[in-house]
Amino acid sequence: MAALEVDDVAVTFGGLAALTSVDLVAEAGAVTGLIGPNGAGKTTLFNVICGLQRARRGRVQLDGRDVTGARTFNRARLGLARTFQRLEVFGSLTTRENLLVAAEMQRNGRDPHAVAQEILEEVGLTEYADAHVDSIPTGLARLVELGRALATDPKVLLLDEPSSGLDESETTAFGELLLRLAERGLAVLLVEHDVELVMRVCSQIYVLDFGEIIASGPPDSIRRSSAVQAAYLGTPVAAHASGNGSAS
Amino acid sequence: MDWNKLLELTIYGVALASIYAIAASGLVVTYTTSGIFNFAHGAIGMLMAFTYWQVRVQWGLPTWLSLLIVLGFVAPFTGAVIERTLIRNLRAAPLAVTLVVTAALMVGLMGVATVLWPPDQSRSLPAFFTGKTVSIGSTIVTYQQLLTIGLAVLLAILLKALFTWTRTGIAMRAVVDSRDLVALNGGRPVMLSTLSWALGAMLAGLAGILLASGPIGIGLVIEALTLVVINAYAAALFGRLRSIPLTFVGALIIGLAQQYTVGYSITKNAFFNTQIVPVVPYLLLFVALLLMPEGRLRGAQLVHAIKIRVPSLRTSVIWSGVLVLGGWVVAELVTGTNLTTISKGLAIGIIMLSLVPLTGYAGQISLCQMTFAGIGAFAMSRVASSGTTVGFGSLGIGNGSPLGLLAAFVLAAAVGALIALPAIRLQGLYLALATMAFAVIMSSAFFEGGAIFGTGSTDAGAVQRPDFGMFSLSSNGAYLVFLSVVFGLVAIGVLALRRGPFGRRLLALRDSPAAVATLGGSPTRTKLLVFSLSAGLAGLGGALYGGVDRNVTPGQFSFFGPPGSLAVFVLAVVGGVATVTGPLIGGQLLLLVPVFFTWLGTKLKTDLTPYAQVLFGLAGIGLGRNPGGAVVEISTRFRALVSGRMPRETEMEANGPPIEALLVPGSPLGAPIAESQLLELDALLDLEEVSGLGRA
Repeated sequence: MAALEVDDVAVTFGGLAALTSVDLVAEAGAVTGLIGPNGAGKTTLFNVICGLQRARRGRVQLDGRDVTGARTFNRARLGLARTFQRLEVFGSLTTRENLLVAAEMQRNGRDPHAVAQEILEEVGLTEYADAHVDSIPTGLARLVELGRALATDPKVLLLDEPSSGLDESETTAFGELLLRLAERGLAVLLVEHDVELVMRVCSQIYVLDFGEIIASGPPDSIRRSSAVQAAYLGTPVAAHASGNGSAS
Repeated sequence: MDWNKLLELTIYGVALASIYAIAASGLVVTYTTSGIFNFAHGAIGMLMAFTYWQVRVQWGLPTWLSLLIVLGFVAPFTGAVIERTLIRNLRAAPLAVTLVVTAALMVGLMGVATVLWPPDQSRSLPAFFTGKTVSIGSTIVTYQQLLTIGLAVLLAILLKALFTWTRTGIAMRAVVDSRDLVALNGGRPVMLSTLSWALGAMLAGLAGILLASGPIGIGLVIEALTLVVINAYAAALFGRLRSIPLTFVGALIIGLAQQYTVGYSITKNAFFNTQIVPVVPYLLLFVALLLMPEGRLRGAQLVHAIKIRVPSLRTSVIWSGVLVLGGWVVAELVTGTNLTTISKGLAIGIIMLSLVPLTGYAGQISLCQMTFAGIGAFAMSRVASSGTTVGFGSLGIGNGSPLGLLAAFVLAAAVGALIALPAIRLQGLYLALATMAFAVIMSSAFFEGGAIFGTGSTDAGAVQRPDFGMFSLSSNGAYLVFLSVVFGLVAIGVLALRRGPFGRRLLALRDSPAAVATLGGSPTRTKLLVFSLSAGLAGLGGALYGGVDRNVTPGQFSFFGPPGSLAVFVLAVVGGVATVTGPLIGGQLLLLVPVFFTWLGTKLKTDLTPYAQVLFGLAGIGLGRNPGGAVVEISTRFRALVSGRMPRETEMEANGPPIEALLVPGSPLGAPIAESQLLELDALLDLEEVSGLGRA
């Protein structure tokens, strides 16, 4: 049974199809990649998974439990956590307080302060523990979001472009952190523009374009897929007109 | 069935609805383009009606010229000036600040009108086309009614056309969604915003003039005119503050409902006729709000978060001690009504403290805290007295039983939870308006009903001071010291709350409800809890407030007061609602300023009370510049003075790298613009073919 399973999800905004019949599986103990050009529907899919966006059709399952109609906070209590592409940190609180808020919502009997301290060290934010989050650099604020998500002790972790704003060495460290999390048994679903990072850490990759999964498989097969190359690198204009223009 | 009466009431209703529609569409126009709800809309309408009287009656200019001067020049100019000087600075301000600034503007404009047109002289406006009527059957319709209805229809068409077909109108609609994108596309959001406020003021002015001269018979009365336009807010809410056609439908519902309920005494129940009928527009406003679809959870917004140092337990205990000592000194030095005024200010301060967790921490707005205070006073009066037999009678637990204070907290908190249940899912502005409607409805249907605090007889309004046996609170001095103790304790409690898990959760909720939900917290449950807690504290404050004079009147717990829920909210925010010192100052301001102006007035032998109103207005408006409130502003400057540096610098140093400190996370400027963001921008601007990176 997969930690996260998405079946046949469709979303429309007005007349525009944002997602058309998306299927996706994220296994525990692995990092699953979700890539695709901007506007492909990656963030919309995340919103559907965590319940911030209602789907027109389809099902979302966590650990085999159907959560399609469940409210956002109930999904979170079942072990789903996420970060946001457009930051949603608690800016008027300090880094430590951000983690505390998340830890205090859990009913697992662990001391929130201990959890917060542990995570500060794990994601490397001890130096910024007592700084207000809206005054730290964006790349680090993304780590605060990651730490906050981890403080809920999740089973499934959705990361929306977590590495943007990080420099090269920070990105490398970040990739290692992701692999460590997967080793611990987490199912990580990673939306990322840094294709190298995705290829390095993901065991399975989905490619979303115009609201549809156009390819999926292990990194090597994705690298070779012509559909992916067309979506990412472009094809001659004539071919584009007859090929990919299902929505615009 | 009396068809003639029905027809007559319908025509009256439609004419009234037409005025509401005109006023409400002005509100919609300003809201859609600036994103700011103009509480002062009614006051602008009132001011224009008076200006029209000045030009038309006092100076005797012809009707057409007077209309041209007022609606073609004075009103648009006033609207534009308000936008330029006040509204523009509020774009990134929290909702509480924008509400306070426009509400203060309303109070200020009412003060200005009182100064310019003292109410001791009666004024009236001639009706348009005096005496000209047409008959439909046996029903007589005045030309003015036809004119009003015709104008509304014409405006509906014109506004719809403006927003649908003209470049300017479409740009106006676009501005509210994304100012920056409109600017990037070559639009001029700043200009559009000014334009819409000019148009909004013009529509308010037209509504004001029609009301003052029309068949409705409001006449030129400052408060009444201002308030009637507020009825139009309900109409605007039917249109969700966006849709002009739905706004007109809403106006029609309200106008007709009002005329029918007035015209047909539906029941022979006198209470229904005198206490419920007048608040029909507010009942409809409440219903309209409850029918609003649940919005998506809001994410982080571009709001200047003001960082406020949270005092430690030690510090807050020490300062509370200082306050009690100060209370004792004042009690020794001051006597008579000055002493009770200060006591009332302190009790109001406790009520304002109830807004600290709710507004200061959670960012939610309540415009009905005095309603909860009234419920608290009611509970105290019935639990802790032995005599009263009026209304619900007395529990007769005993004179001044401290159980009364507990009852005040519990009953107010329960009512708060009850009202919050349907309303709490509403966001920001809508919750604020729902609480306003609740305050007005409760004021008329509950407090003024006679059974609660009587209607003139002092017996029902008697509120005992708590009696703790060993120390007597019967002297006014002792009561002031007691109030200082309670204020100090509540302040310590509120600050302890802020340092603990619940306080963190409240700030998190203010910063991003969406993130709270994805972490497993229920935003609705948290809001419900804090709303109920806040109501309970207000109830406690209300019971103590009643004890100052040992008597209360219904008017004290109304929306406008005095002191009233609106002023309590405004001055709490002006003082600094995220601090506990703010309410202390706010409460004293609310009570002492009018006393001071009255005193100065008697010395100078002129009536200075309207100037007090203007001063309140200016204080609120000043908040636009210092959104943290007076306490934060003063303490920042004081620290700057002590350290000999500019405030901005100290702030920066304490908070990390200077460049990042200027950038707000979540905004596109929060980081160097990444390629992905450029692509996103291109997609939004429909420029795929140019970029050549994202999509072929």
